[in-house]
Amino acid sequence: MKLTDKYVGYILVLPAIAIFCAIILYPFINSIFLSFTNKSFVSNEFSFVGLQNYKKIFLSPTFLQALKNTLIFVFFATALPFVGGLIWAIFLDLKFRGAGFLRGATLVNWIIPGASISFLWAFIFDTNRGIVNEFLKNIGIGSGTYNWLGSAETAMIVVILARTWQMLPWYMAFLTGGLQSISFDQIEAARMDGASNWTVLRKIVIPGMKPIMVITLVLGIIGNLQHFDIPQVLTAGGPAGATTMLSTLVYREAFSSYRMGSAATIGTIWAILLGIFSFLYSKKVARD
Amino acid sequence: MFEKSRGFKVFITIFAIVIGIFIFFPLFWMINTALKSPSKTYTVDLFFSSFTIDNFKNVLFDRQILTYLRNSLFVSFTSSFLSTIVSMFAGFSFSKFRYRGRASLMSLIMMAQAFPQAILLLTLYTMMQKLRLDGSYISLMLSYIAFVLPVGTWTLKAYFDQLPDSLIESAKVDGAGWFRIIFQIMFPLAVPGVISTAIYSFVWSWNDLLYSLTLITEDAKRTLAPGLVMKYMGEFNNNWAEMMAASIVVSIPVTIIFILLQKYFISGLTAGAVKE
Amino acid sequence: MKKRLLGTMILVVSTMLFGCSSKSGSEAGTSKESSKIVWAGWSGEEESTKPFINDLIHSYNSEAKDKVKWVGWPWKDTQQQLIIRNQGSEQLDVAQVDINMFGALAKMGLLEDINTLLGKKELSKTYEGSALKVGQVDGKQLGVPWSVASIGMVYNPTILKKAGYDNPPKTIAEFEDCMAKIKAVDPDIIPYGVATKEETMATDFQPWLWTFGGKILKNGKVTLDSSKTKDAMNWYKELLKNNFIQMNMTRFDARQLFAEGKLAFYDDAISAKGVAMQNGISEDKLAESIQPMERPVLNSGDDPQAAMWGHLLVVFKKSKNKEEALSFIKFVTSEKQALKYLNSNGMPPVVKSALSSDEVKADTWTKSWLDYSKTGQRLEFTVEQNGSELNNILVEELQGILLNKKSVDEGVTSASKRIDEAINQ
Repeated sequence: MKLTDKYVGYILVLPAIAIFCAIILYPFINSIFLSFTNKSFVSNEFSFVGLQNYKKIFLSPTFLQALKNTLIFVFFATALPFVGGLIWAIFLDLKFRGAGFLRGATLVNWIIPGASISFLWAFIFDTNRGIVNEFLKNIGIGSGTYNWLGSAETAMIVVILARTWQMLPWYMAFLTGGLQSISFDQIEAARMDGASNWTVLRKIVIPGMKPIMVITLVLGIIGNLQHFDIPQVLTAGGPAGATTMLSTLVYREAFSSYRMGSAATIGTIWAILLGIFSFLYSKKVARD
Repeated sequence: MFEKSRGFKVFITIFAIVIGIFIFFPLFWMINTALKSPSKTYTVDLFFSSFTIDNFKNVLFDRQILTYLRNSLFVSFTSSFLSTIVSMFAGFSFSKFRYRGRASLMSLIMMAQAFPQAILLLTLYTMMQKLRLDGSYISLMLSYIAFVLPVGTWTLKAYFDQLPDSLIESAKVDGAGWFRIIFQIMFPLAVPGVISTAIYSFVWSWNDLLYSLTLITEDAKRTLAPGLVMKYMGEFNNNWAEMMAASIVVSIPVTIIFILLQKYFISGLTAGAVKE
Repeated sequence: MKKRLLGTMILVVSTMLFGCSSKSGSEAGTSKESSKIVWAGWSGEEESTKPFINDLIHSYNSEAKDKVKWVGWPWKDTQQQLIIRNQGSEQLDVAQVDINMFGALAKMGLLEDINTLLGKKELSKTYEGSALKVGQVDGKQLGVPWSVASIGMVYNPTILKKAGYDNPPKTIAEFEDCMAKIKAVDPDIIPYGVATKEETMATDFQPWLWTFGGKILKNGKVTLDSSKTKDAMNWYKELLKNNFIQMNMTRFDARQLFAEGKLAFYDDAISAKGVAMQNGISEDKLAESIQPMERPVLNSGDDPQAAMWGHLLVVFKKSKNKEEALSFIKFVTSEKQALKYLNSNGMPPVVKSALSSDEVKADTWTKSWLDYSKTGQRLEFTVEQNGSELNNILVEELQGILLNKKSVDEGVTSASKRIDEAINQ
């Protein structure tokens, strides 16, 4: 393309960059700065403490546990709705009567406020009168009083399921978009050559959807890292820290310990981790 | 797309049933809870044992909730509209232009979601106050647009990437300006991506609690997520049954809009396929 | 064609909605200008208290020349929002705080000393001494009490009767025996709904810790690592092992279960009666369904323990209308308004004249609750700036012990080490 096009390109990104700088970049840089201070929430006086915040955070067992929990949560709460959303999208793409309605109805989950979702899943997995315990009792498994949210081993499962339920529609919507952008001609041609479903999936559908799939996964991971509502309301990070995530830890550090410096430190570590991740990702994209 | 062989049928049926139950049973349970009297909230009973529509009636005749709903619709629509436009421009630029700093700008935008939002809020709140924007929807919408940018830009870039450059070249030969190229040639072909972005952005604003709670204090301007929490999760009492009813009621108009949009979603696609 | 239609549709809808909302915005704007005092809190948002608060503000505004304007958040977010707002330039004069939010705001130096505005004498003449104490930090009166009582225990007399107890248990030994009998009569009943989740767990644990003779802090030093603490924690463990208590129990769960007759004992504030009624207990069944009791003691003769609880009204240092704010506070806590609040929501008064009124004397629930509150103390983290963080540490370690992730010794050592670090940071 011609040289003048370059300026058109710049002009088109300008609004995005302007909003980004005002809303994200300035507060972000400010936070990194704060991570080297002992600034508390309330007073405007603070002094520089160097790397002290970082040292403290890395030595804290709470942080390490939260990091581990976050990795588990992000992995499963991204993988489950991704696979489920893909299968559901393929199913609804069979174009049977009512598929459109079902697709719309699926989106309801995603529109329901996070607090309501948390309570819904708390009811479902309630110890004394939850439907899951009732069901298990009726088919003869367990005594019907298993404490799902009160046990360190199972609380995370409920949190992941609730999040999967909330986000599956989103994955479905994105993957449907990808599915529908695949060219039919190519599939027809492959069929002529006698390709099986599996071959079509592997050779045409997945490569065709790859950009959308990658984007969906990346955004899903980042979204889950940010996610806060469900672990906060459903389990309050417990029991015994079993569902404390980096997002809830940051929130607690800022809003219940009122230590800005330390909260900003966790935030910075978090951004660095993501930075490494996106660096590797963009390296890969560049290679492709 | 797939041949309906026996193996495929068995596979898709089993998984469709499992996923279908997983999606719709909790939804049914939510409606079930909302249809019972509050004292039965915690039971496994089905609603016909103590059927009541009081919860729904209370919500529908509650002017406050309707105000919250209107505010949320307004904020979500507007920020969805604006962020889709901004993301579309940016995505198009990243996809079809080559200039210095493009790659770094792209990763920079991705960073918008890479830092805990709770921390950003603290600086943002003071900043909005200095600009006298606190308490206005502008501050809220600007934040929503910023947080949706990475999703929007990257999704739309992926869609534009799939469109051949030759389309632009031939349009330029025909004497079309950039504005026309974007809105009349590229936009229709990227409709699925545009709709996905718009929906994502809509739901982001719709579900946000923390920012809305902090930046908007006037009751008349409050949006749904904080409004519902405030109304139903109190110091002494949580009215869960009515909260469930309210959550269902408010999601109905949005679902209808989404179902309506689907038609455009699909027609946009077929149009694209024909042109290709 | 269709696309253009969609675009037009979206545009029309947005303009319409924008029109509506900008109109409502300007309406609210005019009411803002004429009011002078900004009062923040949560009770003006909650369904059960909203009518009373609206009425209160309305009747004040109809007489006084300095009008009051309400700003509200959910109860859980109030402390955080108050602190954020103290950072900025937004107007904020008076706030309603509960006793746990109060400490952090006080320690951060955001609150005005009421003594300098009103004088000690007048305060102690008007307000009950024990209630005033709740609002004192380091010799300063940083909050005016509004409704103060303790977090006490309630029981279900019908269930206790079935287990052979006509009166509630007085000692821990009796309490355990009573719970065992309840479990034997009906295994579906959870004997004791002590909170085992969220910060409430720390609230409920402390009076038991005191009952066993333990203390978290003494003269600013952490004294948690003691045999008394271990006794209390072992006792909790024992209760869990016998299924007398349950994990993942919040205050809200306990209230609901109690109202359904599936819980025999739990801890709550004085408003427990009103909550029980809202949760479905009819008025004529109240006496046989819910009664307050003194917390059982370790050895008979000990003082029963209780944690003080209440709502306070505070004036912010940054307020430019302190005098006006104070006269509003006086109005809110006045005998007339306080008795109205008692009637509508069961919230106890704090001014002496109201406490000695016939209305309070005739109210047996309030009367006995206030009697049981006499030996109440403030929770130990109340006046720490990061009280909420300290509570979280205690809860995390306690849960770890109850779930056998740690032994009692390990848990106590780790808890006191972490609390010490968090306090002295």
